[in-house]
Amino acid sequence: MGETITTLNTLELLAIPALPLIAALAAGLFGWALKETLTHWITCLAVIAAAALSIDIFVQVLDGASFYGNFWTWMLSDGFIVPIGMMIDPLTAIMMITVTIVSACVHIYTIGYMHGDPGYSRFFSYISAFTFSMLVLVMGNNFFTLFFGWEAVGLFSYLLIGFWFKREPANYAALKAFIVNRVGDFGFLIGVLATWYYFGTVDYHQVFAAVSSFVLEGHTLNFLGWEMDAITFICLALFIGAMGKSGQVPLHVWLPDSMEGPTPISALIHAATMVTAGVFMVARLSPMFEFSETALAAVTLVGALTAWMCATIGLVQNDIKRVIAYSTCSQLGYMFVACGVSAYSAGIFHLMTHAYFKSLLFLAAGSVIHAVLAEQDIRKMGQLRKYMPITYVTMLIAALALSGIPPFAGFWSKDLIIEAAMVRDMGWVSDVAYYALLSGVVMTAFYTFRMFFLTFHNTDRVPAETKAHVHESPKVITVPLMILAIGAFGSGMWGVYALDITNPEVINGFFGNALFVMDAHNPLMELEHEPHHAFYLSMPFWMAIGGIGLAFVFYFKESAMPAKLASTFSGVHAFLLNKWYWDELYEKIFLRPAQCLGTFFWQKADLAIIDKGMIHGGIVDSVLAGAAKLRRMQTGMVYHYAYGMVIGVFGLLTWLMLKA
Amino acid sequence: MIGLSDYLIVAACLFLLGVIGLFLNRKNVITILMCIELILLAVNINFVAFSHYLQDISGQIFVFFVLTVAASEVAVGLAILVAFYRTRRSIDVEDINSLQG
Amino acid sequence: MANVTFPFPYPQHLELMLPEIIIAIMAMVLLIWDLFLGKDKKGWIAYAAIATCVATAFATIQVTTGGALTTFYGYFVLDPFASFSKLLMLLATVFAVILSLDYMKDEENVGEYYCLILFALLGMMLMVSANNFVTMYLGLELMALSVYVLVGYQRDVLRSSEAALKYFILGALSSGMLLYGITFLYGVTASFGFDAIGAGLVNANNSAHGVVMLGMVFVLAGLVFKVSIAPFHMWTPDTYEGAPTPVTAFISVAPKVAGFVVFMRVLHDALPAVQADYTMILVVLAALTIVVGNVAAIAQRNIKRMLAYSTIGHVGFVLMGLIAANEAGYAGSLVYLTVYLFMNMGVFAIIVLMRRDGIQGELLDDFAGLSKVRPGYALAMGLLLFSLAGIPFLAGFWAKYVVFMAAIETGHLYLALLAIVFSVVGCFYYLRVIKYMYFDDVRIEFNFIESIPMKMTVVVTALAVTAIGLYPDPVMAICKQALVGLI
Repeated sequence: MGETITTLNTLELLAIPALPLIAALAAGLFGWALKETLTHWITCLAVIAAAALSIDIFVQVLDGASFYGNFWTWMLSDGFIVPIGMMIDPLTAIMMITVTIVSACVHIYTIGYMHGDPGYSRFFSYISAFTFSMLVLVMGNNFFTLFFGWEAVGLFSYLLIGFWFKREPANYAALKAFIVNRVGDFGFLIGVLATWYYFGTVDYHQVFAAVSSFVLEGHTLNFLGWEMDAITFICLALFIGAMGKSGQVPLHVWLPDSMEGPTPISALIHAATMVTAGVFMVARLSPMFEFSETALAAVTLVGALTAWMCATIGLVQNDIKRVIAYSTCSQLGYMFVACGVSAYSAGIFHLMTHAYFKSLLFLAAGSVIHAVLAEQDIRKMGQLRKYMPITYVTMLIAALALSGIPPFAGFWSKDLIIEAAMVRDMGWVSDVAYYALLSGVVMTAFYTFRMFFLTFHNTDRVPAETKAHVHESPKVITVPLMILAIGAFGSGMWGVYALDITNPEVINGFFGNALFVMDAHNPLMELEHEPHHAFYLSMPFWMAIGGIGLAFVFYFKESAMPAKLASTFSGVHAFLLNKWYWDELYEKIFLRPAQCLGTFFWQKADLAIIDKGMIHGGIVDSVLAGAAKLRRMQTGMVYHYAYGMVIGVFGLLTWLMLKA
Repeated sequence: MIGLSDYLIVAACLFLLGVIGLFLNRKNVITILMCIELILLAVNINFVAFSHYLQDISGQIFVFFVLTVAASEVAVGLAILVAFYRTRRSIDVEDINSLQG
Repeated sequence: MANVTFPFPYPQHLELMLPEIIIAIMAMVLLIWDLFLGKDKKGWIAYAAIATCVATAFATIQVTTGGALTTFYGYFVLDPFASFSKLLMLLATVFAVILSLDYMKDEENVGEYYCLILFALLGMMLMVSANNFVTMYLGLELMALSVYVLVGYQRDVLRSSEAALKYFILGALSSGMLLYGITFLYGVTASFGFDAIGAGLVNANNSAHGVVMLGMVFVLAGLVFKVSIAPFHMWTPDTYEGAPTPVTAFISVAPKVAGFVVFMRVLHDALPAVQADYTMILVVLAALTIVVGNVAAIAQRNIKRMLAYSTIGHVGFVLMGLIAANEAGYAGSLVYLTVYLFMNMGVFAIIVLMRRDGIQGELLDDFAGLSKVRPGYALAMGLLLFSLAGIPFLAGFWAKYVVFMAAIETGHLYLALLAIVFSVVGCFYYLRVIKYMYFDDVRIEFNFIESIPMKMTVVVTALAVTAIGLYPDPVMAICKQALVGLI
């Protein structure tokens, strides 16, 4: 299946996921025998090598190289064929460098952050294995590898959130992430299976080639009494998976809680890579999504709602990591809006810049948390810039990038998304999206700088006993910060000027035919050809300035205004502080009934039927009783055994005779 | 006139005698070895009877194989029995009971 | 048969028996060499035995052709079916010898021990190359007599000689039954050849039906005894527990392969005329075996006993392939036996590695906390046990999958459902060991045998179950090809 098209070195490609995998196995299986130093050398070098190779691949892809082919076909009986192959194009290449570079930085950072932790080698093993899974996810050439990577990254996310498994909230958060993701993954699995069912293959090229004729044939299916296009059904099911993985409303609740995991994980998995898998998937499958207006509208709406709602929640949070986590949800919403309005390249562009500045924010926050002895409440910080200059500067860069101030990275990508939402005409949907994103910009700038000022400026509220400990972090922590700061500063300009990533000319642009946009609705093309008024184009910028200004007034110096505002609008404040009561809602709707149902099954079904039972004391008891009886039958007396054989023979003979 | 069926009945009786002796006997392992011989002899009678009836020599050839194997079987059996006796100091069937369950 | 003249002509194509001839000569040579070796040099015999097996494996591959060839006046057949099972048994023998290296080191006359293993192997190789009851019986007895002695090899250990005595008595009874059955089949068809009997039974007149049934039941009883099918299984747990552990490993695999191969030949070549009857019997026996094996294993505290019942459960599954009695079924049974060889040998290797004063590694409790002391062993053991339990994407899963599918496709849906239910029950006692290894605290002081060949056995078997689990096609394809000669 599928011709192998390659202008890239196959071995080099295979080495990229293989290196982290081998390192993970080494650290995981032999970590008990290796010293700490050896463990982190192995894993860090492997991931750094993978990053170097990815950059090499990226450079070659820029020159027009590509790869498509299967390495191995895993044939199961009855014609179910599972191909394992790769597809390397600009979309893959940009994901690869993003993943490996951020992962390499996080690996190095972890050396300092996790130093002395009893699970040191386990941690390295997990993050390397995660890197492998993520690479499989982005490099695969079919739905199966996508699904494998999808589940594997989920598994490692679960393991890493619950890494400190002795902490109650960590376990709870891990479980929550797992369950919410199951909901999404269920949809995703249905999408994959439906694709296989309708197209008879899981290969990207074959499916994409068949989509347009498939749509023309007009397949429909009846889903819960609702007649819909098959393609819409597939896309919506897949998108449910993306919602779970990428923390979109209403499946976003796990992402902020996942901050219970160690901070490097928050940076790597819950900011830069795994959570963006949903965006990547929609972009990768753009040839399918483009054919379903309904699915695109759903993507846009969900993205816009998440972007706006999570921004509002972020305004009032006091946990430094939670502020950033809600910001992540919100920014992922931006990316989905980009995909929904068919500006996939803008979405991927934002994904890349976001990966750098958001992981930088997390790692810098981790550096702060490390310094103030695991305190995460920004109300107990302040004036930290004096102690931690490098962290301060790098975090400022990240904050400016996130707020969308030129020339920092976030400006270029976010601006493009908002403009795309402005010009794309999808009726009320795109209007809602546009205004949601625009107001989101103010809030983003505000909460980012609120957190920033409260941490580094304002008054010094650090408890006296902690203060003696506050100091700048060691090199292994600050160097990754500086590397990522380069990305947070320059990746936007690099994307626009060096890669020409925003060029809408589908064939000539950076992405080539890796992304598919219908000519009928290509917002980036429209932007190119029909210049809009400078006022509209500069709106996001002024919004961001406004947000920062507001934060400056409220939080730069100590001020009574925030408290006054909070008490005036106490209802709104409580509503936001409690995150729109999503958790409480879920508890009422799902958790309680589930608990009741669970108790019912446990009491009635499990205890009564299986354990105690109505007849002969239940299934378990009867098996155990049978086992004991058989044990007694094995008397140890050889004549009993002989008797058994003779009875067997004569029993069979009698039976045959009676039958004849 | 003694026919094939008479031989077969005698052999069947011997066979049953051997089998029943094997599991009814609770005393001595030597008796069990004898019962096994009895079973094999019943088999031999069957073979010879059929061989003669069918006018086919191969049945009688098989008897020689069976006799040979039976001899070595008894040798091995007695050897094992001696080894057992040395540790257990008994050859009562009821005493072969340390492995059970 | 009729016109045999003396002297016999020299048998043609005797080179087809080259593997057997090598084993026979080497077994006798080693027996004599043993007399001249000092007590501390007996290990040489073991390595010579391994070398013999390797050479024999090459010889087997060398003499095998695509079709079936006979020699020794037609009493010995060499076809891919026989050769494949010979390779399996050779592999099992190599593993068993490796496991014995340290375990049997302190026994008296250990040289004879390895010779006996070779003689047992010779018997089994004759069995699988038998196309008639004479060769089959001789091979079977050669194997059985050698194995009785192997089981009782630790002469001063009571349970070893007791196990041998029990096995001997019941084994003798079962071969008596087998012979008694053979006499009736001979009486009806005037032949000992499987094919000739098969043809004779088709043409047999109706009045002989009772005699045929008598013969069939006794032959089946004799055969199922060797492969531990209930209710002819009761020797198995006692023998497994009492025998020296490497011998247990050996008899849990190699004679099962030989037994099933002969069983397939008898069913397919000699008894097709009564297929309906024997299928009916085998379905009942398989169901009983699967239930007894999987349920009784739960109550065991000794891992060797538990594995004995687990073997009983597994042969029940293998029997399902024979019940299906078509290409998929027979190939499935071969796949199962192949996979089972690796799984069981690996588990026994770990048990032997844990031996201390002859007892350690026998109680399930002894595995408590193994993962904390030797995570590598615990991982390998975990993989092997998961595979035995039939967890997907390990070899054991595919083994079960193929035989279950074969049974379902031939209309034995209820048997397959029962098998599925009881393989789930079976998971319990395998997973219990994993629970001990990973979740319990260390209870005893571990004292491992540090032996490179044995560690390699563990690694090879664990890798094999993983590799076959991930990519079962080659094994399945080979097993299908190996049916040439049977079908």
